[in-house]
Amino acid sequence: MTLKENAYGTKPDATPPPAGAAIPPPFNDGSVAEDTPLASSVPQTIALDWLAALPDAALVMDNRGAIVEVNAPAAAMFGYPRAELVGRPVAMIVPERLRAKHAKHTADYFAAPRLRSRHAGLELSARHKDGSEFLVTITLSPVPAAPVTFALAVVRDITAQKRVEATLQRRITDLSVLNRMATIVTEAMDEDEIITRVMDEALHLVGVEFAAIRRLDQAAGELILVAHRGTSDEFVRATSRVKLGEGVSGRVAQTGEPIIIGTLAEYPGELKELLEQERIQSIAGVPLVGRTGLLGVMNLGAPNPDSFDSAGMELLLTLARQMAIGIEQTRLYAETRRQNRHLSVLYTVNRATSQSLNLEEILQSAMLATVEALDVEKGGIYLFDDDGESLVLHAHYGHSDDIIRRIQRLNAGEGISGQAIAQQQPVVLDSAEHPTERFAKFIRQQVRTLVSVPLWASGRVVGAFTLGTVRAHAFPTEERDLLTAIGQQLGSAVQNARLYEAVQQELTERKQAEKALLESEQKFRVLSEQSLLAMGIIQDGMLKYVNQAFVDIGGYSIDEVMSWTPADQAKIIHPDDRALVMEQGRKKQAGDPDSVTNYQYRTITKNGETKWLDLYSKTVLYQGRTASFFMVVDITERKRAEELLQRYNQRLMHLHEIDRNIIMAHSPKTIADTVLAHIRRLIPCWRASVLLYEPDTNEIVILASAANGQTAIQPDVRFAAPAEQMSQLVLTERYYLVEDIHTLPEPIPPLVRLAIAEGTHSYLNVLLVVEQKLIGALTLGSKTRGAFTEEDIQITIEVANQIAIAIHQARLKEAIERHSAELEQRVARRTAQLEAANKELESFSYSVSHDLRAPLRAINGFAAIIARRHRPNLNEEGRHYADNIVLASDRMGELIDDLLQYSRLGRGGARRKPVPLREVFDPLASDLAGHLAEIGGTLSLADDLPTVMGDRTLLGRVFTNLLENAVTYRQADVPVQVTVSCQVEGQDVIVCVGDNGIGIPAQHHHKVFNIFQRLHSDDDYPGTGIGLATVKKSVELLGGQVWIESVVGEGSKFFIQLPKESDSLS
Amino acid sequence: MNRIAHILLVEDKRMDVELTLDAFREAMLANTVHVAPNGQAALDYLFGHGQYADRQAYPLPNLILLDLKLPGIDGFEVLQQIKETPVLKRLPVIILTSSKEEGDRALSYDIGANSYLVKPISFDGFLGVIRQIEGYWLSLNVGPPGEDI
Repeated sequence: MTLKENAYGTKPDATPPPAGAAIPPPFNDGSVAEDTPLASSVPQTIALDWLAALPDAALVMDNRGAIVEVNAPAAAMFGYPRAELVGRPVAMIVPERLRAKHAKHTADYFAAPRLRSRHAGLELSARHKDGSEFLVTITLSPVPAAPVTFALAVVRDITAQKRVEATLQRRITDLSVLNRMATIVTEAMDEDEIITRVMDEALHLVGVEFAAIRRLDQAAGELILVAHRGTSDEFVRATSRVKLGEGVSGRVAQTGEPIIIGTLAEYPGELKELLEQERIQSIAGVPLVGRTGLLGVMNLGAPNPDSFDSAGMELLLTLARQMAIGIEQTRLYAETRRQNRHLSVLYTVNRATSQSLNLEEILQSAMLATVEALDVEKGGIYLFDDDGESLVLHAHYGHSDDIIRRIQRLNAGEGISGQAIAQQQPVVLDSAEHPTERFAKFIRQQVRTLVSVPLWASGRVVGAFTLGTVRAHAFPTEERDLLTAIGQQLGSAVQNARLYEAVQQELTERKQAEKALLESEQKFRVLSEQSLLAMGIIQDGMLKYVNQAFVDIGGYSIDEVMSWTPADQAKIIHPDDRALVMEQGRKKQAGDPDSVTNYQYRTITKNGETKWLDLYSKTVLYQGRTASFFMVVDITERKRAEELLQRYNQRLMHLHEIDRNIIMAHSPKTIADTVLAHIRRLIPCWRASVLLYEPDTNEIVILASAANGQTAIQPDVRFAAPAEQMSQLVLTERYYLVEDIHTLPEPIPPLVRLAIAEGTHSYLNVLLVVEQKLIGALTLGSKTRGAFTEEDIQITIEVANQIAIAIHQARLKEAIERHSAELEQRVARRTAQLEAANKELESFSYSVSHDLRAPLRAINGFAAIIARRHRPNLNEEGRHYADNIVLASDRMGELIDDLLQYSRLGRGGARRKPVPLREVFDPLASDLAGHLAEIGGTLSLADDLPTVMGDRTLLGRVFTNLLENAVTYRQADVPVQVTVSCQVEGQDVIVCVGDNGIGIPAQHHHKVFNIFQRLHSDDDYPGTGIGLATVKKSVELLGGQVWIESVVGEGSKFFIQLPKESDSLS
Repeated sequence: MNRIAHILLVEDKRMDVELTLDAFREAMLANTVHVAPNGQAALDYLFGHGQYADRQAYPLPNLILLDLKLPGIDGFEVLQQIKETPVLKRLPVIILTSSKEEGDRALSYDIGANSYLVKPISFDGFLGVIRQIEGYWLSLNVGPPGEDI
């Protein structure tokens, strides 16, 4: 209560307190000489042991801002011994930049001391002896000790609290980013899309503007810019190619380690000036490392120095890893698609060439099939002319007649076709690279790229196949393998057709000249016997003629074969194909004798091998009667190559499938199960298992296992790891292959023992290694000895690499999820604490409302009864006091109501919606009209009151208080005039409530909005000192500001700034 | 002139009871005010239990003035019981309380209070409230059927 008397002078006969000006201003310039102690008397009322008992740091200061006493926690907090603090100005523990402000606060405080607590939101910093600053909250309470008042300050260091909040916020951001990343990498199937999206994510996350992604071109030893943000065209041009070792990217690529450049001074490369122009001050470079190694580098740049810290870098590295995995995945996908396309093109060309034995027909249909399959616009097939040097155009596509005439014949080495033949390999010409005279004509026809491949037959070049397209760079290196394969296929077809033609010609001639039969048959024999193409004639089920090439396929002799009956002949046909061959034979007899039959079947050679044959047959006249002439081509190699390709394709599909599963998988167990299902489709094995190595217990535990039968190698089975063996394996080989584990010498590891027991012979164990750490193994078992091929091992290693990374990632993910759950719990706890505190506050105000008013009503009621009903029994003094009680309790009632209203402000959150001010003021004006009429005052409202964003209730409260104040603080002899005007400034509305009242002295302007602040005695102007505090708090809740202009004796203007009604909401 | 109305005042604070009775006297209202000092007593009175068994002495009131904050059974519970009991549910119940809390107001009307009045601090204000209750609820307001008018 001492406080209240001192501050407000409400006690009528108390001496008024010294005005603010009476207190000597402590430090006018805000600077303090730390070594000048100030004289100060320690008040007797402050007991040192009482201060010492406080758990928080506390200090007492006097009204000149000198430290009077400190306790031990305070001394420790500021880093001074007690003796160096006591008697010194309190400014020494305030950061220099804040001292002037602080001095003013101190003066203000002692002008009106009361309990006051300030929070970090107001930027309260303290200064340690070593010059460092830390965030604090301060609670000030006055300690009256006549003749002066001291202040007790309780100081709390909230640095740690702030840091925890910041970390918490950061981790939550990190988690949500990782979630988004997983989505991007899973969804996107295009490399550019992944790069752009991850790059934007990284920019957003780190909050910087500059980014550049560079892809490694291993062959060129360069990094190529593939995506960028925020940089100028000049910068993009200058850095489109960066050599390894150059600049930040080059260094990151060379070392594989991230780099942070804190300021340009540390920048290692030659682009410093350019970077300055771009206003890039700090740079972070991280490598993009995937399973196959370094793919590129991601750089981020910021306009401020030291923009990247270690936590940010960690997250960037994670983003980079995700980006790299995404890139690899899309590349694998593209590779799979390309392989598929190759197969389908080869198949189409193969079909086209096997439809006929007529050379021109074959060439034309091969031409069409290829042009269509490769999606090109022009093509030509050249074959050697009889001279064996010049080339003749045999088939063409898409050329005009004029062009066809010009390119009909080519001299040796002429044109791209001539070049391809001379070089014996595919040649690609780009219009930009080869502007030769002849090529210029193609350019006119908008051919941008030309490719020519030699046609091969039996190891010789027989011609060239040339294609052209309007697309630039249409034939990348990997397409050329396909073109080569087409060249080989077409070459063989050309050779077959030519041989057939030759034979055919012979036979025709023979038919025409019966006389020369014998002679010509001999000619045919000579010709056919020299032929590399296997052929023969079959009549009435018996072979009449076969050449050496034919019997060579099966390893039989000619005599042997000629004696075969149809049943014997059937024996050399693969059992699965016998029905097909018989069916074809029957069709042949029934069908058109001139048509060519073509089919493929398997034959069994003398030593039991299976070979694939391609057979062409045609009905001919042989010795005057119909016979079947046939040619066979051994296509075993081609079939094998096709199968290999198919198998390779399948392998890619499975690897791709595994990849997809890994990205979506949630636990190491599900990853392992998926992988095992796929690998058993890729590699013939009886059992496949994934083992995990647990270094803590030095044990191996089986994570997943899949087998075709009973096995003891089951999930969750665990056994001791053969330590020395494992370390040896890591040091020497990535895998461990035993052709037959039954022959292994002792000591046999426990797992191998189980494998022997289940009947496994071939045993393959590939280690799972991540970041040079052994995490487990992928093991396969087959019941056949020596079952695993080189390719199987290769596939298993690839899959093992995938599993290792996946398990590692799944573990990281689990760890992150655990961590996230923990964080959530902490957030929940904090929320609960806050809610509890809120509840407490609410029940406090509830009991104030309820319990404080009841006795007050009794006081008022009974005093009123005494003052009224028992008035005659009281003397003058008694009557006066009874009236006083009634008045005082009335006032206290108002005080309680106002205080409750103030404390509840914004409890439900301020709703901000458009509120027309006219609708706020009109009811207030009519409420006030009666009172105004009584006292002869006027209120004028501007006509154009706008609409603001706010809360109707809060706005009503604000303007009620202001209008009531205007009327209350009027000049006794002047009729009150209240004016409400408005002004729109940009996005704000400024409302002015002006009056012609008594005005407020300038030195009090800054404190009229403080709660309980009164400038007048209650007797002169009644009030609670809460009204303007309510105004300020309400306006701030609505996102506005309030200020005052006032001249004593002329009047006051209160300005309220509020957000204008925004267009987006209207 | 109306017949004498019976009012049941449910109020635990002795001083508030005295003030209310005084206010009725001061307003010179010729009504009979019965006082129930807690929630249980109010229910006993209304159901004619125990000491209130004599309906001649303790007739069903024409109006109930109910405080909310009562020891034991509070005002809300009393109100709920009244509104859930067929023979009582039409009795006008006026909440007369110190609380301006939104929650209290909402709950009172939800349960079925007929009116909600906040006791003013000043005696004159309080007197005004009592006069208004008389003027509106006992004179102007037409009660539910079953009452003799």
